[in-house]
Amino acid sequence: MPSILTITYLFYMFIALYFLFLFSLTFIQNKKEIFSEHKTKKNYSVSVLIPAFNEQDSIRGTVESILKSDYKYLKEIIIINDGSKDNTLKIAKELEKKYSKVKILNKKNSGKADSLNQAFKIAKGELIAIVDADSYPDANALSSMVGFFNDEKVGAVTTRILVRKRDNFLRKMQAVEYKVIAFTRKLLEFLDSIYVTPGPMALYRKDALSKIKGFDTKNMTEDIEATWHLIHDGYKIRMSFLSKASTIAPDTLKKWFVQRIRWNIGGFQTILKYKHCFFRKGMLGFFILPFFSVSLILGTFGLGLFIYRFSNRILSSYLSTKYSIAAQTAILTFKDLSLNPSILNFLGVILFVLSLAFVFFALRFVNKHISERESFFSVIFYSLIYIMLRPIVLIISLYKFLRGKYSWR
Amino acid sequence: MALKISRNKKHVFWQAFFLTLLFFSLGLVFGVYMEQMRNDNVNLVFYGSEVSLYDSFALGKLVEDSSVSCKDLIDSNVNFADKIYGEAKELDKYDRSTKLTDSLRIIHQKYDLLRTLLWMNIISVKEKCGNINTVVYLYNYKTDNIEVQSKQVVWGRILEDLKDEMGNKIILIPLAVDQKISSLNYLIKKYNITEFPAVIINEKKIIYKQETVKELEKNFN
Repeated sequence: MPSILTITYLFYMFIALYFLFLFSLTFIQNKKEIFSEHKTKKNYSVSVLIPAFNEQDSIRGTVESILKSDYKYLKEIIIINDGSKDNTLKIAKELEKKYSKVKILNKKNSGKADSLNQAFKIAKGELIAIVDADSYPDANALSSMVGFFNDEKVGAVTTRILVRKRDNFLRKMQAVEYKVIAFTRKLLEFLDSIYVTPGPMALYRKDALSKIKGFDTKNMTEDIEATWHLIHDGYKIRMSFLSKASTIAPDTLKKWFVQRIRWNIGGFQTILKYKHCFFRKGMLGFFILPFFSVSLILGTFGLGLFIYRFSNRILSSYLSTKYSIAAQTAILTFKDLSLNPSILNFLGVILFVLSLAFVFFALRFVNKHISERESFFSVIFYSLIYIMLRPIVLIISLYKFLRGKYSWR
Repeated sequence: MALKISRNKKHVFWQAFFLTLLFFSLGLVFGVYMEQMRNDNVNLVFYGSEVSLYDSFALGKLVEDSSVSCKDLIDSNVNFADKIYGEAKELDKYDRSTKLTDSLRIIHQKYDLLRTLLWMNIISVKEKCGNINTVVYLYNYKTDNIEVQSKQVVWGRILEDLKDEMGNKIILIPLAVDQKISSLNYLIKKYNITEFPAVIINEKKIIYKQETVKELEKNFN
């Protein structure tokens, strides 16, 4: 009978392999649809909302990139100054003066969700685009997304979100990550399981947003919550792969940690809010919720197991070294190297190679229409090291969440 | 179109599940087959060792016969001990990579029984032919205690160095004490051994605390 540890490893491998096959099969069955164009049958008017808090460095670029949009029915761009303490308001006023479509909603600081809710009330467009103040949508972003709303059940549409500046190693890692996420998110669309319309660029049907009463101001990730709420209420979420929006990713590990902790805590809040939907309410209850929850449990337990095994190994090496020195014998011998791989080693290597192939394939696919390439080293480092940081953030987030000590910034 | 998507959606979850199940089952079958092959190889070697032990026993019975000298008896036991010591080292390597099946554990148990028989045989040969240097190493096969594991790793290295140093002058018999072998339990009780790992030198001296190879060598001068 295999040990509990062996069974645990095999279970993890099974889950990983399952998702690898699920994504691969979904791709094979839908590859022709990925880049398909959805021409709009109706000229929807669009209001763009840009929530901004201390965004003096990027707000001008964001607004100007939206103004370059090839979509003719862009009605207005509302900059929501959320009590910025820098020159954001001053720059916004300059933009308002220069461009007729730009409007300002100046308010005290109350967080992103509340800012969006206030702006949403005064927005006149039939569709509401939300663009983070450090994001830059392509000129064809809106026009490529609007067509999805031909289907009345579509409540929101997202696009590929990619990293804008790849000027340091952390950003290069995130660039790989965002591309893999973009690829898998598009595949999730075919399963009606897109679980987030991310802040850098998302387009919502105004009626749908009204029905869900806007964004949840208590949630740390209002975009995840709004997406789940829309799915809960019977709306579909779609993704345009023809366009992209680029965003500025954290450039230091500290900022990265803060961002990821916020994402995770928002995820926990959303799971709790919709826990009553488990195995009910279509894909939300049968796939998205279990997928999120299982990832959380497996990630936490997996890291715990890893730490336990790793600390055992360290302690064991320390004691062996101590005893070896006392007994004047070799600290390490050739015998210590196991040259007889076990089945777990074999399966682990196969799984790693398949996962790596998936990452390379996703990158190649996403890079098809953009002049970007990732170095081999970046991809290997991403697959071996960067991914390992996720469960660590998960544990810290869970700890903060359980203690109730978290805030947006 | 909506219906088609809905059907595909449902199917792909099951398709992925069955594909994973197939791939996984094949992996497990391959794993069991691989471990079984290793076990078969070890088993073949074990049968050879079994024959050698019975041969040593038979020689022991003939000790009253003038044609069988004590030297022949001692050589036979030393050679056999060296043979199964080498096999034990091989077995150890396989041990660490066996994850799915139990048969290697049983082979390990059989080897421990074989080595217990060897030890008993040597004790009786010693009575007839005088001193043969023996080092019996008693350890735990299944232990989760990291300190005990580390001590055993180092004891293994020390005794291997001792054997390399002294060659045929000593017989090294490693024995796992937690393999439910009654005869071994009796011997442990007889020599009043209370904790493991422990090393018994010539059935006279019991060492619990690790010593250097040089210190151990002094026991045989």
